[in-house]
Amino acid sequence: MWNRKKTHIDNEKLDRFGEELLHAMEATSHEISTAANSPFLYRRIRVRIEEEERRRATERNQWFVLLSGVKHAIPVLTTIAAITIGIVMFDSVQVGQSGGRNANGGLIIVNDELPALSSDEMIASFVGWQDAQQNQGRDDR
Amino acid sequence: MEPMADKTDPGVSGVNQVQNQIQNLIQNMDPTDAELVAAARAGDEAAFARLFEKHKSMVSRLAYRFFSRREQVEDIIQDSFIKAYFALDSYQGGHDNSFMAWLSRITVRTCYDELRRVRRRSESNIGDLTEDEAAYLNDKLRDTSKEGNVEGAAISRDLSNKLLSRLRPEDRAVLTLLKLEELSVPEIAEIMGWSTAKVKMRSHRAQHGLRRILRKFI
Repeated sequence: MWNRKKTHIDNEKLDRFGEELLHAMEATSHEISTAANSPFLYRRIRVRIEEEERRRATERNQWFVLLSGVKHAIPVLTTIAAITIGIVMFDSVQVGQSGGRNANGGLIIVNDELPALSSDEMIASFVGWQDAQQNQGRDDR
Repeated sequence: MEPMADKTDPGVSGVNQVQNQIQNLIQNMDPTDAELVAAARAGDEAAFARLFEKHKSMVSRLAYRFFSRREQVEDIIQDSFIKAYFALDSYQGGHDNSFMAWLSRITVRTCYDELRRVRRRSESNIGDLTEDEAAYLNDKLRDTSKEGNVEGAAISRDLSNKLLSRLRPEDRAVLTLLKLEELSVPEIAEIMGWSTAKVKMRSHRAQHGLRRILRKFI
């Protein structure tokens, strides 16, 4: 009981001392005005504002340059894309008209028309190619 | 053709004179903060300079609540006005003191940021007390003969700053605003951008924190 009362008094005292500490931070009007009227204080503020404005302007310019570069690239890229699409479409139309043959009369193999070869046929054609190579070698000698 | 002035009624010219006098009075009156802000927004450098002249003492006074060194206070004045300049667009005028309240909010937040910066960079070595200061504190706090008469104790600002710098920045900000600026909890909440519950909790903890710091010297 006594201890609790003592702690309570202590806390009160500490709180009041704490407030005194806070009040000790109060400056006199002379100090306040000396800091506020410090020479060149406004000039320093202006200089820092101008510096900051310059920095922001440079940053904005960098973005502007980047965006304007992209803006110029868009029509070029669009033109290239249009030309590519045009060429692809023109070619596919020509293939359809020529009945699968090119200008020299050669057969144009379109993906869909690839002949499906079995593995046996592949081996047979490979063996045939090797035989032909050997025969050609004998003829040369 | 006779000049118009000759035909004017003397009563009418009297009214004109009064109107001119009123216009002169209006022109000579100090522009309001809202007008100065509008002009500064439009790029009028002189208008911002006038705002600075009008409010620099208030900013200086507030900064001294948190810092004891003049250079620090000058830095806070600079930072606060620079922040205010770049935030002018966000200022919404209202009643007469509105700009002052807005600027003091910026100043308190600048002080709070600086307190945090100082603490982060462990610049709080200034918190070390000399033997004399510790002995003085011990005397004052142990002195039971005067029933805890601590009011008006000659505490130097330096000693006070050393002790208060041991508090967490948010605790110090809350205590300063509550005890020195005598602001209400909702006002502090608005300034700090916190909830009222947080302000209450913080002030409670700050009080405990300060007691803990002082108990070390008993």
